[in-house]
Amino acid sequence: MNQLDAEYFDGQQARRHRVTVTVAAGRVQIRGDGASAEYAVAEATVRPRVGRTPQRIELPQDALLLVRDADAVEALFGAPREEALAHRLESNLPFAIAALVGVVLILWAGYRWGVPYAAREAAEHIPIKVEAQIADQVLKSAEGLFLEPTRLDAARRARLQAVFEHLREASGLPQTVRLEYRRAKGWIGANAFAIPGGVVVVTDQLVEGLGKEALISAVLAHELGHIARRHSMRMLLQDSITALVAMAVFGDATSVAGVAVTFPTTLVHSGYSRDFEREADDFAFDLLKNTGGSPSDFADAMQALTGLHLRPPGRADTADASVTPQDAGPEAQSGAPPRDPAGASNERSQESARGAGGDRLSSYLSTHPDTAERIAAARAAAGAR
Amino acid sequence: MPHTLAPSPQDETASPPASGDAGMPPFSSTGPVAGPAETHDFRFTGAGMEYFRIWIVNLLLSLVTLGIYSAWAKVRKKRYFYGNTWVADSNFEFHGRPLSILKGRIIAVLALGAYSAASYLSPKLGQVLFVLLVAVSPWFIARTFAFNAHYSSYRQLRFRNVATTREVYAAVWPFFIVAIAALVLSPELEPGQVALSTAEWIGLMLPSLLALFAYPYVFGAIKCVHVNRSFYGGAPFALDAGIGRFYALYVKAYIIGLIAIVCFGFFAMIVVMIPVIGFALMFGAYLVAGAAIFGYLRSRVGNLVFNATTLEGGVSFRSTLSATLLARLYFTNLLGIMLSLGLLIPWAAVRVARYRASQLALVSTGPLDAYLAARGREVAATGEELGDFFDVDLSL
Repeated sequence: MNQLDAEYFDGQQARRHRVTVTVAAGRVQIRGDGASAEYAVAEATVRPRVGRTPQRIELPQDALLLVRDADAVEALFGAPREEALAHRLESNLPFAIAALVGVVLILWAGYRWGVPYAAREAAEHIPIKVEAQIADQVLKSAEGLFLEPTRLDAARRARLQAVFEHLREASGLPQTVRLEYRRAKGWIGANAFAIPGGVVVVTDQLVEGLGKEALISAVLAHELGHIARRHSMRMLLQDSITALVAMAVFGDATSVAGVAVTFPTTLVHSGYSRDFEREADDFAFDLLKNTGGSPSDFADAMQALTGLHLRPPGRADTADASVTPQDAGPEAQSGAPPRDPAGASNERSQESARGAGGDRLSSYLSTHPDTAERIAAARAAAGAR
Repeated sequence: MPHTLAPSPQDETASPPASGDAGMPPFSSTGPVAGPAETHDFRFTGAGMEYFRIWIVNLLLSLVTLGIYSAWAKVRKKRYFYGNTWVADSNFEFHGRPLSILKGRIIAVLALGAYSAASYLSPKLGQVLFVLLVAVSPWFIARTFAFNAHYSSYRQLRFRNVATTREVYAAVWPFFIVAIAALVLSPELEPGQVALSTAEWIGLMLPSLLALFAYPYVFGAIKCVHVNRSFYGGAPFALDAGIGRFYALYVKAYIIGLIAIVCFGFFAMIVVMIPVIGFALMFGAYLVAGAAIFGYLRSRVGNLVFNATTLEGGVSFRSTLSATLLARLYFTNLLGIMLSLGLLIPWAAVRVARYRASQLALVSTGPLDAYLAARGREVAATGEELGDFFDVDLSL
């Protein structure tokens, strides 16, 4: 049979003609319902189908044949070339299931290795100097929000300065990387953080709370790890890639669910954040070993900080403690969170979340790995010496 | 999405239609004859499982090709939704070309990357760029209208939209006033300052209140520009809806929002006492409030716009969306999407499209056959993609 029923539109008027199409000798003849037209078969372009929608055959001058029987079209005109593969894949249930598995695997592998790898490679090609100018701006806005001038005496600062310089030199970081002392206001308490571009800020409360220089040095080594490993730049890149992927995966969701779907990106962000903490910990362990200290100092510092933060009056603000140091600052908007601390603020939220909803969830929602886990890692690193 | 397509179909070109088809009538010579009104129901024939297969293949190929296939994916998705939307026994079609969309996407990603990098390296520069971005957003909007219209057709006749950037500016200008007010009025707060003076309260609250006040105007005005500058072939659409009617809808939505905020405050107090229950209640309230507000607004605005829209030649529309049903649809969709980690998105999308189509009808007093084509210029996808990536939201 070289005939099929179709709807014909001439492209000039919205009129629908119900026609009979005859294909013979390289010509397409269209007849019926007030229409009469003829084209060469070569002039007819069969558009790929999508789902069960009618097959479209485009003709010169915007004319169109619409055919509901797709098999008949294939028999007369052959299969469409472009996008035909897409339609075949989409029509195939086993392939859809394989695709689902593939998507899950790719997302997982991308999350675990792909995105971190790409961000690390890219960050290596961006000189650290580029970030240097950010540091002062970020420090200034942090001062406005939760820092005030230090009250540590000069002798104390000089001793810490020497400790810091020793660590910095051993880690191979340039001299522009510096230490700043500030007194914390409000909830951040005993804390230390690294600002992209190379400023480590330590609070008076942390210095006073830890007391021993060996312990403070362990915390500083961790912060230097954030700077040396370019964590803020890498986080910016990883967050950007995550946002693009989330847009691809969840692009449809917002319009059909009313409210925005943003939870997954938060999860991914805190996952990466925990990876960076572990990386900074490992960096600190090595650095401590190379400078005559021991990872066990880090374990002791963590333990001491946990004690400091479990004590009142830190009770009322526990719920958000693990995110606030990053998210409260204007840095968060600029995409440059100061790399927060030796987990200082975090222990509290771990504890309270555990009381509230269970261990597993709290570990996934927190930006820092479990404190006990970090202490154990430090002890193990100390033992492996 | 097809629902924006039919009543607010459009096309491109900054020039009015007269330049292209000087003096050509929008109808065939027999003309639309006023006759008895005929009602044609819209209908969406897509199915969840079928769209799931398209969706998952789109996703897989987009990931494997590092995003390049996403342009083809977008075309297939839009063709699926347009092609399955029927009225008067004919369906719609999306004609967008993947390569043009890909080009637009590459430009959009580069621009977004430059913007993120600039904001990261210098928050000040980021703020300046943000202001610039807001200033050019009407251009994104006009280009998006033009693109979506030009690449949509019904019975092989294209839609067109000739809204100019200037016309969009005329609709969105109150937002610029709000932005300037926010810049000027924001008080310089001392770190850790808890007590605020009256002047500081006003400085903080006034811009937000202004924004809430301006929103219905901007939104209504944008809808009017969109529809009134749209054509089906050579025939113009017209929207006759006073801005006051948009205000009436938004005031009710604000009241729902206010109730939600009060509930939030109440649940926040419970958090202090019993954290688990408090957080669960707050989360539940967020979902319910979101579904309720969006369900209310999208249904009522949809009805308002469609019911007040006419197409020259005796065509009008009848939209009967129910706020309750749409809110329930959004709520169950949201729940399903969350519990399935996104897997149910295709089913959710099909449900919404099916419901929206089922509540829409076209009423014509003349023959639909009579509409005639008009020529429009091609539209680049760049503006539309930029708008997409910078999240210039047109959907509400």
